[in-house]
Amino acid sequence: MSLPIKVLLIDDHPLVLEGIRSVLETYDHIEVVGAEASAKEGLVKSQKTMPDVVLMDINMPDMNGIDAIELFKEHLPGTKLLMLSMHDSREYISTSTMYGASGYVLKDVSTSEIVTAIETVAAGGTFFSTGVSEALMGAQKEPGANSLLTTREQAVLLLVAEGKSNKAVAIDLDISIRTVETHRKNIKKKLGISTTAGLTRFAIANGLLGA
Amino acid sequence: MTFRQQILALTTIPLLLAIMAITSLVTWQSSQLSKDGIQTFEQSMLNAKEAELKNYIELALTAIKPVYENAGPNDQFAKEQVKDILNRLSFGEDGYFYVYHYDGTNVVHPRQPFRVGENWADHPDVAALLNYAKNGGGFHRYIWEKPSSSEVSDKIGYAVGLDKWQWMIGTGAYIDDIVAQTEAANQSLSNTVNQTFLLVALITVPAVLAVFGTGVIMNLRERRLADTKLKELTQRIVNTQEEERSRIARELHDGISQNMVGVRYVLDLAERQVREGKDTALATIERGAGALNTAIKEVRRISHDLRPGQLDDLGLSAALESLISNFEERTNIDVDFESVAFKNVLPSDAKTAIYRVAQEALSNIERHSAAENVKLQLKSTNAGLEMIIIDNGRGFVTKQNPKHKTVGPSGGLGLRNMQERMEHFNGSLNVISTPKGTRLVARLPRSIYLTSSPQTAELQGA
Repeated sequence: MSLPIKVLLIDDHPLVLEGIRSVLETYDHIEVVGAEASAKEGLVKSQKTMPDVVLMDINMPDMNGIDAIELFKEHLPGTKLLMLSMHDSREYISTSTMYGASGYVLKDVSTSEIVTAIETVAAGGTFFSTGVSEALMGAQKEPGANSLLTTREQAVLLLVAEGKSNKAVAIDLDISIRTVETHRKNIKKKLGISTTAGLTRFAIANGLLGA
Repeated sequence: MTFRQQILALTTIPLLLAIMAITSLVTWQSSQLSKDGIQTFEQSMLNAKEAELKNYIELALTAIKPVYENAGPNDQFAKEQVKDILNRLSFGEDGYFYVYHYDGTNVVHPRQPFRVGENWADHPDVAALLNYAKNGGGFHRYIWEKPSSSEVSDKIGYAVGLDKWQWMIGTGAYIDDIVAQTEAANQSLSNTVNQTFLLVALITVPAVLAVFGTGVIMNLRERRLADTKLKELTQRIVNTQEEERSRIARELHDGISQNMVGVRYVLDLAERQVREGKDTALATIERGAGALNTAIKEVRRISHDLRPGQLDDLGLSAALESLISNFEERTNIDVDFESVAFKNVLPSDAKTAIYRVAQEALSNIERHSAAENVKLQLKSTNAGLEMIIIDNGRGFVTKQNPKHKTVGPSGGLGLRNMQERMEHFNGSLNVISTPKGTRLVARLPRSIYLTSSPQTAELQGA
């Protein structure tokens, strides 16, 4: 058998954390490298343990799981994000995938389904648990009708609109210049704006910057 | 002292001071004028009296002139003649002439003969008159007994000297009539002053009282109104809270609690089956897990109803999107949703307020409008946030018909509630309803926007 899949758990509910951990530890091909109560602690831990899969709750104080996806993607591009949530609404699921999650599992599914999800995303696939796929099927709305900027993209937009260079933005947000460039590209695509001046105009016209 | 009372005092006190100042000034001036007038009158009366006295003396001197001019200094016969003339000479009721020797001895006194022959040099008035007479004549004001009534009264005396005989001849006039008239004038003056004061007081006091009274009444009325409003509001909050609580309690008890009890029984059953070694235990446990899942879903639904997590996690747009898709599924009313590309520019409570307004508006549309299409637009500009909800339903009565002002389509306080939610953030809510549809616009000012998204700050720290 190959190396076990390294899994990091992040959930602010200790009971859930312990429950999943004890179930996962009964599987030989899964190694739980950490169980943390917040996204920030999880990010620190994952930089030491380099997990293959991060299984993360969405509703957490301080920083919610969705905003954390982007941070993990920025710092650990190879790590797969699997969201574990009570929410079965379409907005949560589509937002999670837009931010870069590889899968979305509802908390009320059986533990064996969670294991399948971990195996699938670790192998590079995407996984949605039963209830989730139903929610996604339920409404075949064209994506991008109200295409939202991600939290990170919005932060970059504001800094760029203030006139900051890519380098300054990178320092401000503690990410690489390449990542800033990627964010900028995505922002311009989503807003249909091609110039930096255009981004500033957009920010002022929408009341994002005090004119 | 409340702010209102301070304002009332600030307006009334200067008014009072001004009235008092004007009154005293006018009164003082008029009384001064009158006093001057009285003094002038008194002076002229006295001057007239003095002129009269001088005339009398001239008269007496003329009467004795033939005798006096031809007599020597010690001509006893001539002196007797003069005494006789003067004793008989009189004017008016109390007018007479007297003669004193320069040494103070009385020579002639037709009305008080007991004085004749006695020396009166020690009498201060006599001494004063003698002094005037020796120096060419003069007036002296003093108090003397009035012969006609034996009363003591004011008198002016005039005396001149007959130097050849070392005599002083004088007469006097009682001026009690002048004194009385002056006093009467003074009395009437002070009466007038008092009357003026009384009059001003009669006008001012009721006026100021009226101002005060009106202020106090207005104050009380407004306070009572505000109290009533506050009471109503409190009652409404209490009612809403109670309704909400009893609804949640019912849902917890009827739904989840019953469900949990069921799970408990199932687990008991499984336990017994495991003890007895029956292989049906597995199926029973699965049944329990299924029932538990129903309970989890129920909790999720209730918690979502209480506060949609999307508002905090995904932002207003996503929460509205979710609200709208539920609405579309439930009602088959098509909603065209347009939103902004960004999120978290509003503070949490403002987001909630906009969300609740949208929720209430959609619920009104669902229940009353019979609309087929709804357009919901969320816009952000330099002026702030604007949410426009337009439907093509049959409309309802709004402020255009003020009798039904507070009666929203939900038969109660829906619209007012929305309005209050917006006004709390200095925003506004406008509703225009016609039989062809309703247009609702909710606005929040730019000033409540978060200057830098806390989410951003947080990410920067991460």
